[in-house]
Amino acid sequence: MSIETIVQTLLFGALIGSLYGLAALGLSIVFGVLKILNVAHGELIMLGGYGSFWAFNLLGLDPYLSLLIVVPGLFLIGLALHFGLFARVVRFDEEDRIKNSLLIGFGLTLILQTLATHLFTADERSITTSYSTAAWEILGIRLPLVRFSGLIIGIIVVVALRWFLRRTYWGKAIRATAEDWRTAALAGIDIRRTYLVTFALGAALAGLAGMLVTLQGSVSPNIGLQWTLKALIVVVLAGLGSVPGTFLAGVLLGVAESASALAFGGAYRELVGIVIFLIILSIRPQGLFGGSHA
Amino acid sequence: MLNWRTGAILLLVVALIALPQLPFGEKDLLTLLISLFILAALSSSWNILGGFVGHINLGHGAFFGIGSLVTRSLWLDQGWHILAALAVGGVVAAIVALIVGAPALRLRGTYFAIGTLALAEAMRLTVGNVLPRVSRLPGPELRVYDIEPRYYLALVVLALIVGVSVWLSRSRIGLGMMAVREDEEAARSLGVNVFLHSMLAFVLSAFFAGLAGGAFAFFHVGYYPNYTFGPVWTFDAVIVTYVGGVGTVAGPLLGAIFFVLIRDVLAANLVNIHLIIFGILFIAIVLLLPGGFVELLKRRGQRLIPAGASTEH
Amino acid sequence: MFIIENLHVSYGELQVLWGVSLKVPQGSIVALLGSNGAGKTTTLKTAMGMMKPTQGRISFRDQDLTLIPTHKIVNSGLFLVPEWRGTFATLSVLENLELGAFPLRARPFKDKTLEHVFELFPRLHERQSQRAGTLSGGERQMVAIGRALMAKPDMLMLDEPSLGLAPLIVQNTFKLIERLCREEGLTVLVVEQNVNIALGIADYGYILENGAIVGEGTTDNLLADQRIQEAYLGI
Repeated sequence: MSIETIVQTLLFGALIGSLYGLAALGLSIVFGVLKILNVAHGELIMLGGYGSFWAFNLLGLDPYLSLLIVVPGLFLIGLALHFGLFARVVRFDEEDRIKNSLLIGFGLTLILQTLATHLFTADERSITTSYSTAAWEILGIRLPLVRFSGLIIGIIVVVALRWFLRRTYWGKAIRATAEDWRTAALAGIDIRRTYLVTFALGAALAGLAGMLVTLQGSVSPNIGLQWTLKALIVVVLAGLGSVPGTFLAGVLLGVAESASALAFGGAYRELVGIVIFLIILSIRPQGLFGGSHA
Repeated sequence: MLNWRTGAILLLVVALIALPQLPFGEKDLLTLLISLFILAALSSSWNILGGFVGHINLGHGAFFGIGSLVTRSLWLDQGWHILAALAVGGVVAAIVALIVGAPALRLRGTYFAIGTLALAEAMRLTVGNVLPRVSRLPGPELRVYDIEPRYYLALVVLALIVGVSVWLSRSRIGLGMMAVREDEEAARSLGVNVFLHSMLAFVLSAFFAGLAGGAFAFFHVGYYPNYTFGPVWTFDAVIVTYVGGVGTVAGPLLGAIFFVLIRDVLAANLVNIHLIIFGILFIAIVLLLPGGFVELLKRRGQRLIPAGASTEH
Repeated sequence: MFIIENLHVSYGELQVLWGVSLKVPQGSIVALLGSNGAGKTTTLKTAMGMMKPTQGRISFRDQDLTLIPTHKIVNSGLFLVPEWRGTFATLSVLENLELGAFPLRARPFKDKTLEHVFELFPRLHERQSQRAGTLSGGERQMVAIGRALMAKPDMLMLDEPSLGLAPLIVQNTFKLIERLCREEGLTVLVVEQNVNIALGIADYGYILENGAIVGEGTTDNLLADQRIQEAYLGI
């Protein structure tokens, strides 16, 4: 195995990992603030992917431009889902809240997946643009532009999200609510609206990730579970509370997967994340998700 | 005392046993009933842990998969008798539950759910990697394929799990399990060993899921080895149980009947549309009617039967 | 005038308030006294819309506050410093204070009030970029009160401000509360187990026992009352 192959594989891992990080950001912020686990997060990613696929195929819209539709679109879907479903769960105490949100997400998974199969068929869809195969080459290492853009967009999102959470009133309100919603309410923060905005923000982030997933690979109705699981692994790796930390954990997971593919063959790359996940869970069965968002 | 309810159940059992011998007991009907029995058995097995003890296992499909894998290889490849193969399949699933149970049951609430989800996914991937992704079509077995034994085997597996569920729901152990579900701390203070009760439920649940998987392997002879490990088995079991009535013996059965009926009625023109209907029903039940259909029937029953005329107690 | 009329509150089956009524006139300090579990905290929580009364009415300056969400009550000029102080440990001191000005009524005055709070608590000015979780109990109390002032409240409610603090800090806190009332016209309702110190600054007091008001009066009358001396002052 040449050194180039190793570097190339690890680099690819890091680039894919930036998608894991993006996928996890939305899940993490919703979990951290609302204390609900939306297992249909992967299905929101799937919807985002189809959004940009159809925008490209029907409207001839460049996938990056389609974000202007997909991200607000998923934000609206997020608003509707929270308003119609998850807001009803938030009233419960912590344990019931999380359990019921899990079950609702579960039902939602089923609905969205089946609906997508009916509307879009079970075919794998991908977006092929004029620059799909474009790549830079540095010292014999290929850097495909489309994949590289995932990393760049990821970094932009991390910086923007961090700025939003640290510098704006709404961001501070979200962090305060994550830490202690009772006190946040007493400080005059409208908790319900904070929850609503946060959930929609998580959905919008899922939409963004969905576009990149489709552009770099493909989308089909059943990709959701796999992405929810990836996002969960990253959240468990990173813990809650740090935006850059979550993104970085995603990149690390991607690198770890590639490294294990190099060592044991491609068939086992999916397994390494799950094994890490199970090890962390068994070491720290409780209190995994402490902390608020920053 | 033989009241109308026991009578009706007895009648149903006799009818189900006699069915293959009756003129309208055709292959299509039997096939439909077999898939109903297997789904009902799988859901009932999920219900032992998820309903009685309240631990949501999102990796239940793995035990179904283990049961089907072991049963199939012993029966087809090693030439064992199906009953022996089935029993070993269930036992292996139970042993796996015993091994993973110790770390898994330390997880609380959601962590247990996502932990088991990941565990099942790891098993599915491993089986898919280790075993070739080709399905050996067993020629000789297919040539002599007879639906009747499949029917009876699935019926027996279902009867077994329903029997155990009924016993659990009335026994001290079952009572202890439900105490754990309602309030772990309170259960502990009453002297209930929370871990032991959870573990017993987990192992029983896995054992019967394994049997259901074995019955499936006997029924459905050709498929990829890791097909039965798929998350869809868990999904169906959870949804069927909740729609029917989680934590009750009748719930998973009612849910399964409803599920199979809707699937079959709608399958003619709209494949899988039943999943959307069930998804919506499921969410509605979680939010509005946590007791499921059983709860609904009870409410109606209370309205229909005048006070004091109830046959219970 | 802040008025609670005939307030009944239950936690599920368990009723904890049985027709509590009290009044806090504009610009005065009123103390709500009582032992642990008497229902003091429940009264405040209900006033802030965090619990729903089964019966009764809460109003502030003739505006009905019953069944209004918490953030709107805060925006109408009422502010509660809870028993648990309510500082956000993971946020910096400055961010905690800025969040105090979250209600729309307070935002235009944010910079000016912040200056004022830093004048009152120079210590907070020094530590403004520190995480609130790293502060001492007394400093957290300052953050809690400072954040309350940032909301530009007309009336401040304090739940057990003496809890867990050294005597000197307790004294300073009550001195400050008195000053805010007398010099800046802030209306105050203070809930305390420490009757001595609460009556030291209050104009009027209510005694709450088992979810009902069992006595009330001006500070002097209460201090002279033999039952209260026996029950709460240990005389």
